[in-house]
Amino acid sequence: MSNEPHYTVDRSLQLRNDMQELMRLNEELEAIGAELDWSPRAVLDLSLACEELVVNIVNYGYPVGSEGFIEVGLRASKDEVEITLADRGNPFDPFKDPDPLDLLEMDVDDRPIGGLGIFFVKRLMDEVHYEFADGMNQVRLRKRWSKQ
Amino acid sequence: MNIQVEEIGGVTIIPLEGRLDGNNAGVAEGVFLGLFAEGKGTFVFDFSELQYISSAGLRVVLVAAKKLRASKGRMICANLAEQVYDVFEMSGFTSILEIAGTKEEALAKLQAGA
Repeated sequence: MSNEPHYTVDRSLQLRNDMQELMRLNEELEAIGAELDWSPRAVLDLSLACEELVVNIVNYGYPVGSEGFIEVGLRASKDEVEITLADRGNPFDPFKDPDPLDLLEMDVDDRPIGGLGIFFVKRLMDEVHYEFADGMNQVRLRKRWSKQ
Repeated sequence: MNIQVEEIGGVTIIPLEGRLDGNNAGVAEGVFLGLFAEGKGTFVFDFSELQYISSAGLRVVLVAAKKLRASKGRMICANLAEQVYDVFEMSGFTSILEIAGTKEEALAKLQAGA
């Protein structure tokens, strides 16, 4: 049996570095989910993984007030998906830090705000990958569902 | 996000609906901070109509929890849908925040001071 994925959906969309674009990204994921008969939960998990990365790029990748883009690639089949995100913001590997396991134990008073988004991405996806190539931050996420 | 705040027996109920994400978490945070500034100190966040939360949404919950802890107020998160509960759990929020199955259960706890 071949390990080559057989994607039946291959889409790309270009997002501006603006939080409102999360809506458009989510609509696309919902459309693909409906087409491929994914569970609603699978769509929510992908939406979360994508949002955390997009929010980071919008907040930290591009200088405040500047216009930037995020190229999103969505390749999918009934039981697997590969998502790529590429941006021309500051070079930054979102996966370089260890999981913030110490945060998870902290009580309300001591706990810093934030710092969990990328941890969610790693928990929800099977595979995360980063490289800086062709002047772009390039992230690739993969997820496979055995049964839905 | 359109938030219709309700007041029942001294408890302020903030219903959240749809998605609490990077795009609209600021609205919910603003609503909470406004009520907190008015002197409200006992809250139920009603998640029954919320399908989705991200780390931007968790920020609102943690900001509220910190403010209320520091001011000896109290809050309960009620009726968490599956994705919301799982994100709370991944974050460790289920061990540090008060959670109730329903809004009524949350209200009963708060009104009994239990």
